[in-house]
Amino acid sequence: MNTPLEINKSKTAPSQIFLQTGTCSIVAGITKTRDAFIQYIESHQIDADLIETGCMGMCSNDPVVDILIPGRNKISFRRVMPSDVAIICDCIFNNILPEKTHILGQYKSNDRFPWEFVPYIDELPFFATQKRILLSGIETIRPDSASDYESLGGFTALLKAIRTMTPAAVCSEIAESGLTGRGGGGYSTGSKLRTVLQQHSYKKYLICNADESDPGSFSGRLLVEAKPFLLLEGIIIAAYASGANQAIIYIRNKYRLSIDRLQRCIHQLYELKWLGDDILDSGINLRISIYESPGAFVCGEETALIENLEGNRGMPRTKPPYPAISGLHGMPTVVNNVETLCNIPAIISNGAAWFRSIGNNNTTGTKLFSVSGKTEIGGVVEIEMGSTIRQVIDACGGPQSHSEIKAVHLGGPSGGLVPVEDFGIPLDYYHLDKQKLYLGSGSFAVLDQENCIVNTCRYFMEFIEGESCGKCIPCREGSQRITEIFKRISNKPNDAEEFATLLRFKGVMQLEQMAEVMHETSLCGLGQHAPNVVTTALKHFREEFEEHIFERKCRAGVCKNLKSYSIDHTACTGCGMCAKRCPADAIAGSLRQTHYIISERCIGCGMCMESCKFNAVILK
Amino acid sequence: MQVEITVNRTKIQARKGETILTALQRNGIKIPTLCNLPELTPTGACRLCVVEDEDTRHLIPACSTPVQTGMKILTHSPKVIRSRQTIIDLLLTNHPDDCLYCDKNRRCELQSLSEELYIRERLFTGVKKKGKTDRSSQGLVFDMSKCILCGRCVKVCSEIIGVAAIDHVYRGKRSVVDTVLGKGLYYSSCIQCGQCINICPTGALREKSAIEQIAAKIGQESVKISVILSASSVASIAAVFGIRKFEEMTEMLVAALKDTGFSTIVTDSFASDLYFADATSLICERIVQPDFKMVISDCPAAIQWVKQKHPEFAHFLVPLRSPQQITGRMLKRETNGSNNIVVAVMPCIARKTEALQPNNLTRGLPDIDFVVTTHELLHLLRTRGVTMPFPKRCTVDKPYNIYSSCSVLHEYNGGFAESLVRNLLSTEGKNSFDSKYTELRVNKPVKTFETSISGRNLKLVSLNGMQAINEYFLKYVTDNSVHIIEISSCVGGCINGSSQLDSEASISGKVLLDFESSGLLRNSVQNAIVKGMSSDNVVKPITRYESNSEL
Repeated sequence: MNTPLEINKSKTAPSQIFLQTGTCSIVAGITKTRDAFIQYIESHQIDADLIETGCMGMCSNDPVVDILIPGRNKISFRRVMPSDVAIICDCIFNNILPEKTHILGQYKSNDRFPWEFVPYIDELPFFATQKRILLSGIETIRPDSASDYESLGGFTALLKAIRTMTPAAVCSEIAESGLTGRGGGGYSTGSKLRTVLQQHSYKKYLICNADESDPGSFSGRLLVEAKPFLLLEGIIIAAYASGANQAIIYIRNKYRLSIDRLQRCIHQLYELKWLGDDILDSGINLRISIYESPGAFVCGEETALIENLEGNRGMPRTKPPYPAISGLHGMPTVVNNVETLCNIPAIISNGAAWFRSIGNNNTTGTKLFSVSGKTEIGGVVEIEMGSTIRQVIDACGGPQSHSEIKAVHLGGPSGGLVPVEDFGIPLDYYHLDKQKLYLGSGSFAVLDQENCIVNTCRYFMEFIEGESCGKCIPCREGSQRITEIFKRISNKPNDAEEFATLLRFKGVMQLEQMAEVMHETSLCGLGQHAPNVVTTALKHFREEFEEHIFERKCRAGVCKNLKSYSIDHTACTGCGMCAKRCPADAIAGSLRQTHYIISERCIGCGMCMESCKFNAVILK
Repeated sequence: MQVEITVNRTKIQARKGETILTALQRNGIKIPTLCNLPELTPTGACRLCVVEDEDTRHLIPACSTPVQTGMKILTHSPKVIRSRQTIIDLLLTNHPDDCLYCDKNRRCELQSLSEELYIRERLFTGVKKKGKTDRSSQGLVFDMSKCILCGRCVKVCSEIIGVAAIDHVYRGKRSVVDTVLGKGLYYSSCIQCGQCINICPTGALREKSAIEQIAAKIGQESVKISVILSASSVASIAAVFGIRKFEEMTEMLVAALKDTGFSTIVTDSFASDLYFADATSLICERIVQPDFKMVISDCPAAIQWVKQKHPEFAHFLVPLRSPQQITGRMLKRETNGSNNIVVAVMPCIARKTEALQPNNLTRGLPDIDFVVTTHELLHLLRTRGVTMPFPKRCTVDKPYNIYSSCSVLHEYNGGFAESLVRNLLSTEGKNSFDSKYTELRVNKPVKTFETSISGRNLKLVSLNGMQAINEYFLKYVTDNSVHIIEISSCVGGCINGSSQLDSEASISGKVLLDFESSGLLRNSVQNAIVKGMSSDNVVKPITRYESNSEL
């Protein structure tokens, strides 16, 4: 198959330094590391290329830098700070292995000499457990280079689809593969595309939802940053399959790096005439534009997103009509998530049967999870559908030292809590549905004994309270009331407020009913799934709630207002340090006499405990 | 096409494509809703209309779900009722509990729903929303703490009125309905049509009351209060109390108001005669001009709409004062004393704004001091123990007691155009009572009429309601064959004004029409006093603005 792309292999330097640059590593400080490398290369006159690639998913190890010197395997270093650059480079460019602390592993190759005592990257549990299809080759290519992407086998699917398949055939291939919406909907992508294809309209839209505004979800961002061409290829194929002639990437305005890279890639594709009028002489026109979203959580809902694109306030519409029939400006519209679209090229080039072989009977393919919380490694993992929660945790190196995992919060604000007993649940739409869980966009927050369940619920309900669009009553008012109930539980009873205790009990009694009504009657998915975290927490962690309510204590020590401090009479020397430091004037006592804490005044800040040199302040 | 659906285990017929709610309402099954209005697109915001799907056990919103064959729904299952109760509970948690002081007390939809759903206990306790109150507008007050964000006003303002002065702003718990940048209605594109007040289910939007200020003046020895009654207010009150005679009602009201302490009571009908007589002479003057075109209206909201939406056509507006302002100016001139207060009773809040317009001031003071709506008048009378039918009668003071039937008719749907045509034709000496003119009264958004005046062809278009104005104004104003465009913001004319009483508009309309057919004087130009006055140049400064730009 001949391609119009000329692989432009300019002369490369013998050594190459791959800087894994994503938003995550920029936050970790890769720009300074990069400057240090440039300075080192210039001062030592080393002939080496600096190459920016995408992040390979080990976000907690950022900045990750891979170095390739002639004749030796490419070796990967983690947490490379500017101060480490000189030592690492001094060793590597003199063919010596540096200290172990920064070494992550080495990449296998056929013709190069391996480093001794360095593990192979793909044998690390983090990579060995994963099934990397979307993320494969991510650390080797420059994100905005079309030739690099082509060297990974990119664009073959696009050529195959446009040159050898009809749109209907593409639709049925995708439908047959069993690919479902990865944004949380779980609706068959193939049938969605087919519905749009069957509509008669002079204008059809394809919207790529890259808004990703749930807290704890960053897999889409990583994918777009590292492989923008994969997304664009997926978009072109999906547009071809659905007959769409205008594609819009609805991306969060804070994803600057993604937007920059996407813009450069789209520009290249226009120049190559793979976008625009009559692409690849097929008679198909397609334009792609980027829309920077204002970043509201509710705009991840497809109809709210469409409203926003039309210039209106992002509020969900009533369905039916579904967007596939009447969406943006009343035209048939496909709305798909980044991850869904990125799966399409692989399905087209390898076939539906290959895709079906991945995953389990219920859900096919892989799923990206954004793992955060109390695991050794945090980042993005790509796991085969049907793997268990435990497998995901194991891939991320298991729990951190001293931590005992008690739950996983799955699926962002719409998701629920999974207790440790249920870690054997296969991650697929069927089993999760049965447990009334929700995969969402794949956020995966690991909680241990230092995380308070009540506080977690409160956090997510506060998020919903602030991010609800305010249109329908159950979501808007319900989330406010639930947040207030949680505030009452996790705050110290205020004597000034009458019936505080009564209100607290009453509130908890209403929680379940309110959660149910919210779930049953809310207008869109956001409101319907918002109380999930509350219902799952009440189901699995009732004892923790009871502890907060009856004993007024938080076992994790997170709910600050429930902490009560007292002074051990025997240990107190009466130095007066604590009284001096107390911001609330809650400590009384004269010099060289035992001090007392006036609990009514105490705000639970813990300053006294910090300031006491004799360990006389006790936390209950 | 008919679709059969099962509701509460009984089969009913529905039409294909309609929503469940429409089908249920047509079959006489009542389900509550706070956000739905028949003429607007469904928003699905309040979730009170949820019904249970018997097959899936899911709750579906009736207002936005189309009927499907074989659908089985329960409208009042225990689950549905519990959800509705919870939703009302949630709303009440965040509602200021001041029903007893609320303007909408006993007319509030939220209040009646909570009664209907038997809410007897405060289920949830929470922090109440502290909303600001927007008092900047001259006609209405927007109390955001009472707003339940049903979105009706937003929809009406954008979909029907086409002004979009208000919209939802902010998100989550901070979300409110507000104007651009929260500047207040006075600074927004609001045209004061008052439709939002009409459809607001709670007391969040209400008219700015002038009752207290008037009450303070009643009974003061030195103060003389004159009242102007508008014909549509009289008709609306007549309809509510079952009095079918317009003149009888006017006399009762005059007597009641005189008893209450007002000194002079007049109607604006005489001024309407002046208005039409002057409009007729203006048309006859201008019709000889080659590119004669006129936009005629006595509706302040419609005039405001033209001025802000199409300032390029504002010079077509007729520089005539509305009957309210003409009467006000006449009353002020007659008495010429500073302790003379003029109160107008009007069917809508736009008149409140009109009275305060700079061109309606004389030496810096408004011609009309207070405008009260029909509602407010009734409150005023009720407080003073006046009950209808009032035993006494009293006629309107001279010369306001002589008016033609035209002057009353113009408040009725299409009557404005008809009055104009009739007056124009009678100047020609033609028979102006032909039944074909009454065709203008038909309830249609757009009506056209062609005739010839002094040998010239004259085409008149009447646009009725803001929806029609939005749709057709530009088309007709740029059409060279159209000479006169008559616009009014309320569908059905002033008789359906935003602050009219909740009665069947057809009844109050009938009161007007009955009077029209029984009247002796049928055209404004036949009114002898008007004739005498319009020949005189004294009347011109009263009826006309000095220039168009002053409008």
